Amino acid sequence: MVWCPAWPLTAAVLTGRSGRGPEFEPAQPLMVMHAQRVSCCSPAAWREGVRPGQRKRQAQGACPHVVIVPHDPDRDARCFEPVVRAIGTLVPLLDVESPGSLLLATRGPSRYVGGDIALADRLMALAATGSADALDASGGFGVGVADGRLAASLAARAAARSGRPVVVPSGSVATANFLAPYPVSVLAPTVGCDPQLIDLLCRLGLQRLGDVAALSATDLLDRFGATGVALHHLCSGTDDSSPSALPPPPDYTVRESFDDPVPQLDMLVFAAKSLADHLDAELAARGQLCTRIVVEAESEHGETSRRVWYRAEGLRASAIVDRVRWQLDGWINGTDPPSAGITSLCLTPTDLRADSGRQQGFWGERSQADDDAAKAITRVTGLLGPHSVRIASWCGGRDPRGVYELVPVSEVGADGRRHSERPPTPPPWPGSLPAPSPTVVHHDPVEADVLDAHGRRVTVSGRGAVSAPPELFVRSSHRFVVAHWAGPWPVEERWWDQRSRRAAHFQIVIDHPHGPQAYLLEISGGRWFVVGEYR
Amino acid sequence: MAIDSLRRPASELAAGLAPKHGSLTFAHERLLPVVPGLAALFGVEVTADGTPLGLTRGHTVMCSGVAAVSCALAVAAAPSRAGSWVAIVGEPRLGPLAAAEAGVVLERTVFVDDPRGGDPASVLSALVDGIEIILVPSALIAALPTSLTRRVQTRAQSRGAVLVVVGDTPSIVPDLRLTTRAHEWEGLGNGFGHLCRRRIGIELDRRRGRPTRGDVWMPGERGDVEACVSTGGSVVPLRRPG
Repeated sequence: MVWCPAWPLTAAVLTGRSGRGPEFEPAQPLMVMHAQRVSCCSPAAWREGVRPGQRKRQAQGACPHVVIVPHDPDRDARCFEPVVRAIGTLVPLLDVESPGSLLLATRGPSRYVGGDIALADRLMALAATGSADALDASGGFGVGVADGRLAASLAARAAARSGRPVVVPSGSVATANFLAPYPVSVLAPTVGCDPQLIDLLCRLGLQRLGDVAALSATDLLDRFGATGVALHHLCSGTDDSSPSALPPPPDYTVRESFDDPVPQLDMLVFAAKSLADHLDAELAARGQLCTRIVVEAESEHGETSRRVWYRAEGLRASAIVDRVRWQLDGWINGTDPPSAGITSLCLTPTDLRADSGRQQGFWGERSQADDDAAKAITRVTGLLGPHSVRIASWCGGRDPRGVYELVPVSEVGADGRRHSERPPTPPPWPGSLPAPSPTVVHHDPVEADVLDAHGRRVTVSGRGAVSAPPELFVRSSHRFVVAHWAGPWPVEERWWDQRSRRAAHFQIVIDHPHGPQAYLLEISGGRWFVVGEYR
Repeated sequence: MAIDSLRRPASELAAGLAPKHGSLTFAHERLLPVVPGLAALFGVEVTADGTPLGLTRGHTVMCSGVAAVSCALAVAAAPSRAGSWVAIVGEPRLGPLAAAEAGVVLERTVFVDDPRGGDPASVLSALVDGIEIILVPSALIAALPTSLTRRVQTRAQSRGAVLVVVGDTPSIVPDLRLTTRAHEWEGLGNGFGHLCRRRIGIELDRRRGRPTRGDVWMPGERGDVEACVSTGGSVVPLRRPG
């Protein structure tokens, strides 16, 4: 396995150099945010204390000058294409797992170049061609050689840290010994294991892969079913899903030929979408899921682009389309583009497994209503733009305007459900107003005025004393009599930085021709604003 | 044979009847729940599990008067708790905190930007296709041509979605009209206390039949709807300690 720990950062640096994106310096602390969490960070950022999985605020707290690199899987895939191409000159059949990670069967190539270590060195050299110093941003490539996918990815990770290839001797005992000391949490990033399962294993006292391997396979089968057996195979190094060098069976191949060669990427992706939908529907009808797919495209002049893509969670239609787009984008817009339009596109699933529904849905556990809503949301997002549909995310705070923040559904993605959930025991916010809360909140302050019996503006002193009881409420030149009022509730926030704010909140009930109406007001800097209305 | 056919579950029987009588739906499939506080107004009994069914799918509900927003949230709350999705269209000022207090489940609530820049009818139609409760401000409805409004309404009917119009507008004919009048706010003195609850008079008018009236606390002390126990005169209802 050839693996790059933070490929998106290298891709961003390379894109910046070629003038197709903002420039980044590889030596400075960089990080990529996805779904409001740090998804990867550069070695410089790591030294400052930034860790993947942190929120933006935590990361910036650890390293205030960290630069955020936009999340863009297409860019990553495009930049990875030359690396795949370079390695392809030595090893023709390889599985691309994701941009930044690829897997190959070593038996043939090792014999050819003279052993695993020689092969690993050659791969390191090939992977780093042309992007040597840009790799500073991600920590460089790691090459790991081992039996099985899990051991190889762990070896590659270890190699990326040490900077030298790691070769685990062949044989299930050696592999099991290599795997044993790793914590079970490594299963999530490497083979896409369900985090809930990992949590359960930890709670059962199985902290390390060796602990799981020490159990008998039948016990794991009893407790976890087929997943348990797969888990045992993984942990004891007898996993047999190694990358195959055999040509795929032609049964499920879907192919689209174009009479007129197609030069544009969009049209190809569109064609790929219908192919992928067709394939997905056919496999779903048989209760199967493909985990590895070969994408082949051929140009009018006979040039071909062929890639094998692997994904442990399974490739659904949208995932297949993404991979086709990455591959073709890298080919058509890359350094060695085809000299004519594309005439055929072919998708061949090579690894199939029973669809056990392991893939988590977009909204977590799904019901029919959730499915329908997700479709409607996608449709509206298409009509109005990606930021038009938002979901409330709990932030906390004492100001009714800030307790929930609206975040675009497209950004929050799978975390939508977790985000809006209010913590079961929200932390106390001294000074926040008790329920009920205003049904209408004004994020842009609406100016108003509150006058006392003599027609003077009511003010609040520095010590929180009201100058006179409010008598009149004036809003857009309409005057209303204040029937009841309460306050002031002084709010002094962020006194430590420039955004410091001093204000006082009031609740008032006014006599309105349609009945009493309640408002939440704020006085700040001697001016009155309407914060909320109880309608 | 006859007994066997009786033993079959009702849904199976319905499937057998369907070709003769067109599509057949059961009352519980046609109805969405309402919050217990509004059950009396809707004329339905509170069942043991506390979710009285009273809101007909496909209906357009217009909430108007001084408590229109609270009323619309109260209508959305019970179906939302029961698993429906809620879309709040073109009203980014609606307070999520108040919605949560009213009982709307924010995990299944989306806020959609004002579609007046694009094509509002398409946006509403798309939402109606997948989301069961759609809150729309009356201003947005009023800005649409009547033909488009009717199209959205028909679509909501066929998909079983409930369109809740917040505010009064003559450009849509609702199946259900909830008109609110505020009686009093409780909890605020002159310089002390804080807003606790509001008693409102609410009138429910279906197109057919006589309107029903009732008083409820909306919002109640926790922000949700509480039935107003008739207290008679100036007796203040007992409040929970603390």
